[in-house]
Amino acid sequence: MVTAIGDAGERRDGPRNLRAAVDRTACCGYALCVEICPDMYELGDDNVVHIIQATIPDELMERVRRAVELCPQSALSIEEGDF
Amino acid sequence: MELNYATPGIPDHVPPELVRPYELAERRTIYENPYEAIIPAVHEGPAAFMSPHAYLGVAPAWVFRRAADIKKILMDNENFIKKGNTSFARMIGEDWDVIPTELDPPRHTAVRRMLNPMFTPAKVGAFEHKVRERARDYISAFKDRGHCDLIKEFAVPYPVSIFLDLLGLPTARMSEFLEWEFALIHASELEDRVVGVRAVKAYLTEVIEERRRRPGDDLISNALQLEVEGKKLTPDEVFGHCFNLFIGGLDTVTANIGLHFMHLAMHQDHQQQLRDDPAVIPAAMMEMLRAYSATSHQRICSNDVEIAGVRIKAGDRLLVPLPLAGRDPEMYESPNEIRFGRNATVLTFGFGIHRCLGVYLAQREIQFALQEMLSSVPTFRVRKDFRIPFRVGGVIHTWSLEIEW
Repeated sequence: MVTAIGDAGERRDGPRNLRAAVDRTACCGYALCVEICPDMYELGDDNVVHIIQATIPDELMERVRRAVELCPQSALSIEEGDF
Repeated sequence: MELNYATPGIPDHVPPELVRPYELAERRTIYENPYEAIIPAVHEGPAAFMSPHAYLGVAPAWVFRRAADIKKILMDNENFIKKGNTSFARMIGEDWDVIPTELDPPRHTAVRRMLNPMFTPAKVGAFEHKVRERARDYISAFKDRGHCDLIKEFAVPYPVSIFLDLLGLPTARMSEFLEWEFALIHASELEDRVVGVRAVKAYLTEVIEERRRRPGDDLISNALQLEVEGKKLTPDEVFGHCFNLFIGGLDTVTANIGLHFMHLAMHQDHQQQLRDDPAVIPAAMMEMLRAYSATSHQRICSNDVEIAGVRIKAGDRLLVPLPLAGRDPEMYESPNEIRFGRNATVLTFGFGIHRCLGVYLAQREIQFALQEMLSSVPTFRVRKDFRIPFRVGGVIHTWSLEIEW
């Protein structure tokens, strides 16, 4: 089961498995996430963002969170679940 | 004219205690640093207030000062819309939108989807070496002289010449274009602004017709080819987009570069820090962008809503000043201190769907300006007895900055 994580919804209990997700119908290619975290997001030939690596490494977490916060289309999210 | 310029009154639903002046919106030149002399005092007042001339200097508007409220407003495209917000068309008795900035979803979404690919980090990266060369060219003209006016000799011609190249417009006419730009963005009197809008309208209309006949490899020719939702833009839309490029490209980067160098000229310890460790420059730039955010934006309320504890009615106008957001003590600890290691969220290029289209070019231009100046010119300071003029209004500028080294 996959749970979207909101501002207050970060679960610290139990094993964490966080991955980056993009709503590709909402994405308009502002590319802000690409500028903030190029190791995680890239712009495809279709000018929509693609996720480079699904699971978010700890060292990129702060950048991914900032990309999620700043996405003009609110197209990015962090999902938690058993993958 | 639809927008009433005859000083419309304060709406009845506004509590009298929330009506107050807002100095930063008055288009004029002052000789004290507004980030120190005006903004901290605004942050001691209410979260939102209505100011009689805050809307483009001519009409009342709600002014918001907290970054959290500003983010909320900029993300809410249903209650706060942009249609007609700049009033440029109405100033000359016409009806066209500045595109994309005056559009709302869903049209805005469709247009940005087509425009964003032209301004991606990769697209800008492909010609960034030319941007850096341009910075070097202008700096080499004064670096051995021991002094310069950093605004007139660098902060203006460097980004503006790059933008004129992108539009395919002649650099030889730069000073004329800047006169129009100044009139329509900064002039205190409405009549002068009208003259600026008419001049830009007449000139761009002519250029667009010429590009229609003889397309080139430039942003104006591109606008003529652009298809949104399967259809070419109408002539009004092509013009509205070119007008947006013109006003966006000829003013704001100059403002940012000027303010950053003003800060460094007054804080030689910060210069030294960047000279000792140039790798800090990108982070320092973001911190100065936060602290010296230059532009304020408008929204029009489309439904009755409550925000920052005040009731706002449909039809009310809003001013969203990013210079206030950047110095909000609730968002940033000790906001008036410049800390290069702060690594904070910066709202300077906007937030939400109307975020600056040219942001990746703008950031590179500013970063290269800092890198090239600091590596070519020794420790610089403001020339003795020089009083720095600040233009306040919709965009905050240092008008002239005489430095020596």
